[in-house]
Amino acid sequence: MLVLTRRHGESVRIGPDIRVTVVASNGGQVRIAIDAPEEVGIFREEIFERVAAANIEAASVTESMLGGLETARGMAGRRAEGEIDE
Amino acid sequence: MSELIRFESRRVGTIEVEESAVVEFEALPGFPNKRRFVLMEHAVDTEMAWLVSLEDADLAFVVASPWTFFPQYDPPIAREHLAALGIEKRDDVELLCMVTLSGKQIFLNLAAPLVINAANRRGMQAVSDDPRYTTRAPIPSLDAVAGQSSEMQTSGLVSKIAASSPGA
Repeated sequence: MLVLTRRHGESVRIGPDIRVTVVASNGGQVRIAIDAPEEVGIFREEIFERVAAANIEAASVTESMLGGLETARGMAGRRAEGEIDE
Repeated sequence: MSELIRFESRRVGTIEVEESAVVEFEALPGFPNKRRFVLMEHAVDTEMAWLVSLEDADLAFVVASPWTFFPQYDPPIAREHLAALGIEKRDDVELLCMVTLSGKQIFLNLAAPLVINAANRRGMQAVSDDPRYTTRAPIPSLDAVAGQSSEMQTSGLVSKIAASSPGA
């Protein structure tokens, strides 16, 4: 991990297209401005972590869990060989 | 007819799909190295599908169209998401939400839907901090859903993307 010291008004480039600028710092808080191409997603780490945790939970859903639920009717039955028969 | 891929998934069994059915995802949060997935359709009357990894035999998600359960859903998708996927036409956008369970209650992740460009089969998870939606939105009662689902037009969503069985 690269660690840099920057003053108010100074920037860091990440690749040619992304610029992170310290616009204010006050006590324990730092305010940063980010210039990046439109297609680059920028979000607070907490948001990302929340989605990651939700995804990991989602990956643990099994067919047998779903099998007990009415709305998932059809899922259980179509499994295995029926799914991809030639 | 593109190349046929065969993959042994421990989650859903053997799958055989054409290369053209594969959706290439930008890394999903929590699963940084898994990119190639295929959407497996189920019975016609089901509201859910499997999003199965073609790189990890133990990885699969249950996904659903959010509108089946939340007709008013307004997905928190930003222009950056559309740009990242090269989406040009609204019709090319396909949207699915991951499913989680707790006991008999089913939840959808409405805060971070999966967005797929059906035209080039690229996908990503639209991460946002939209305060309207949660990663665990409980779906309405099963009875309500069962009565409603036959009217939903959103089943086309799955059929456009999914690897349908050759016989279908």
